Amino acid sequence: MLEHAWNETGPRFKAWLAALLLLIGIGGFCYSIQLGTGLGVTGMSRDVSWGLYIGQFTFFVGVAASAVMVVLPYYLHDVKVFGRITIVGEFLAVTAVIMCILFILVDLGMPSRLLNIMLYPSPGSVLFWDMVVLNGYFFLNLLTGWKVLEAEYTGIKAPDWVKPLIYIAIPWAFSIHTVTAFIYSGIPGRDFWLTALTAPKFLASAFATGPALLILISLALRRFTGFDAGQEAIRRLSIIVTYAMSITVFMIMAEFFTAFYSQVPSHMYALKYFFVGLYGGNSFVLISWVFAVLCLLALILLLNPKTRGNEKWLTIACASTFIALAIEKGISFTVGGFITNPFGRVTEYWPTAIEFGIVVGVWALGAFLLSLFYSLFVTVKRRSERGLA
Amino acid sequence: MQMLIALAIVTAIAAAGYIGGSVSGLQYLFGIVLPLLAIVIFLAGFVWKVWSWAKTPVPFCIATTIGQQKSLPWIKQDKIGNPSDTASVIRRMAGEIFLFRSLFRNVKAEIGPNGWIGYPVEKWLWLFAVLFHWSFLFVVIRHLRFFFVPSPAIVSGLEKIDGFLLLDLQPLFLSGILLLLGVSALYLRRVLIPQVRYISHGIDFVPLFLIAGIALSGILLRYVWPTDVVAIKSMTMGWVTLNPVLPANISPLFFIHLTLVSVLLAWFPFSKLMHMGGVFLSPTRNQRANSREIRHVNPWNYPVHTHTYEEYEDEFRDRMKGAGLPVDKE
Repeated sequence: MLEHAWNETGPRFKAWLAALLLLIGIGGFCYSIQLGTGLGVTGMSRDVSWGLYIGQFTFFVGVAASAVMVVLPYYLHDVKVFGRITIVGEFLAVTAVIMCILFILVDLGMPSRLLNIMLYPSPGSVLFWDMVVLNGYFFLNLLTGWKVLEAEYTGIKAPDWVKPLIYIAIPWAFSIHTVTAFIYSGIPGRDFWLTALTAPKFLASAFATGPALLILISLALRRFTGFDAGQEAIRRLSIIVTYAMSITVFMIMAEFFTAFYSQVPSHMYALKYFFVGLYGGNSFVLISWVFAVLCLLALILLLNPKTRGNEKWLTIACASTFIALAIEKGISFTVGGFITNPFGRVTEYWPTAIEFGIVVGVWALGAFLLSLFYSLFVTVKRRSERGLA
Repeated sequence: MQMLIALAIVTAIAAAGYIGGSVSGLQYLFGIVLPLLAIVIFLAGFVWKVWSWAKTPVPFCIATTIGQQKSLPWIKQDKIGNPSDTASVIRRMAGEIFLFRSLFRNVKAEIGPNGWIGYPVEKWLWLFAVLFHWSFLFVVIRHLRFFFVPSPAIVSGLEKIDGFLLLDLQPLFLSGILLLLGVSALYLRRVLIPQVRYISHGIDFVPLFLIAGIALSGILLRYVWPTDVVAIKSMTMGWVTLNPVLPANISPLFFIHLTLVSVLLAWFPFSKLMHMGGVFLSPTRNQRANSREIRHVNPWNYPVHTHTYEEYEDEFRDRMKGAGLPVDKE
């Protein structure tokens, strides 16, 4: 079964994989520099000790969790149209978790002490629990996605123990992003994160990001492989994106209200820093406005049924959603909490070229794995539809 | 029962090693004579075995094939599954030797509830085999540091990668752990899958127990009851320079390790472990599948008296014509 993922592909696919391998190589090279010199090669500092890596980690935990947005309707509400893409979602989750773990790895100054998290577990730490839930989620999705696909390949029903695992994976998806949010909102010294809204906002934005990405993937799969997820599935996904995106933007606005109406200084700092700059620090102003404009664009296109129903506009809306939230969760949110240090001073942070190189490498690795997974998936679908079980 | 005998044999070897290491009079035998003897048997046996295979004639084209043979230009050939030129044979062999390609293709047959047969993939054997063999190779290369002064750069480079993770600030060599895990998994597979257990003889368990014993004693020596490595290096250097040294303070555990390795080495050429050399000489893999391109004639064919149709017609042409039968040549 695995060999079909490779044997039945064309030269264009192989060229794509080769290009990704090149990017992975660049990332690996950048990482070797970081490994040799230490985290000093990044833009992180005493004051901003979490940067792009942890931001990207947070973002991809969201992507991983969002697989539940196709699995839940299909298995709990019998939404048959999602049947064709539940595996697409599960493999996306598997890849996203791998990327998460890699982002954590590259953020470790001493990755060789990795085992200590298991040798000396500290159940009082949210990070420890994040390790537990992420690994659990990884295996749940890998196992269920694989078994369901294999059942399709062989024509033999998946074993009975797969179903319960799928049902366990549903609440588990919520847990991974909640625990990740608690990493932030459990820190009393960082006012920007210290809000009960963090976890719900994470989930809402994840459920916008993931389905938006799934729509983009489905459209790409149809274009490049001929696998059609179905109009109805895409339509339903776009509704999910619309609701989730609206809720996300609403929650972000609510943060603004609390901070500025009540004039809470420590809550206003980060928001001011993002959009107008604070104490001369303004490196996030540009991307924050890009974020705002993209959110607005996405909302306009999504809320209007005409543009939402049009695939071209929907593509733009989904891309805007994805990029906007990749900015917000992928870097801004993390840095925002650190931007004023405990003395109320601003230490600026911007990722260095090496940091970007490593992140590009991890993205490329994710795209590489995802391409292989989907190549396998599409081939199995094609064979089973031709009756070539 | 056969498995228990195998276990008893390996335990006896380990016990012999322990006694050999504890009784001072026997240390010379177990620390110097046995290892050197084992190396000699290993090298001579290996050469003899490869030589005996190499001189065995292979008159027929018996390459096993798993894909489309080279045929008409518009039919796509499966170059690796059915190689017709030397480059493809080398690629196929490389896939076999480095990646265990044919194990990767392993499937099992299963009948579904609708009565249809399906072939789910079965990658466990492949996975465990890859884990086991590669980590064994890494472990062996790491041990080269006992036989060179200074230790070769490739060994220290490998140690850096292999021991990247730290266990209480001490490098944890993953290959050793994976070797033990791999061999245990292969053992469990043999015991737990009824079909595999059915085809397992006692002798199949001996290498598994031996290697598990070697890995376990090695891990214990490194992490639990460390022994004097400098003393051991003087001993190992004594073997390779043929200038035997027997340091005093070497633990019996090391002798267990050493005796198990010696027995493994000495037994190697005469056991199934010889697939290490055999994989290169397997005619079903290292031949070109060109049975249709080229006529392969068995050189041992004795001359067979034949009577072709042409000769037959020459002989009976007149009578065939007389009977009204068609003939090729008028």
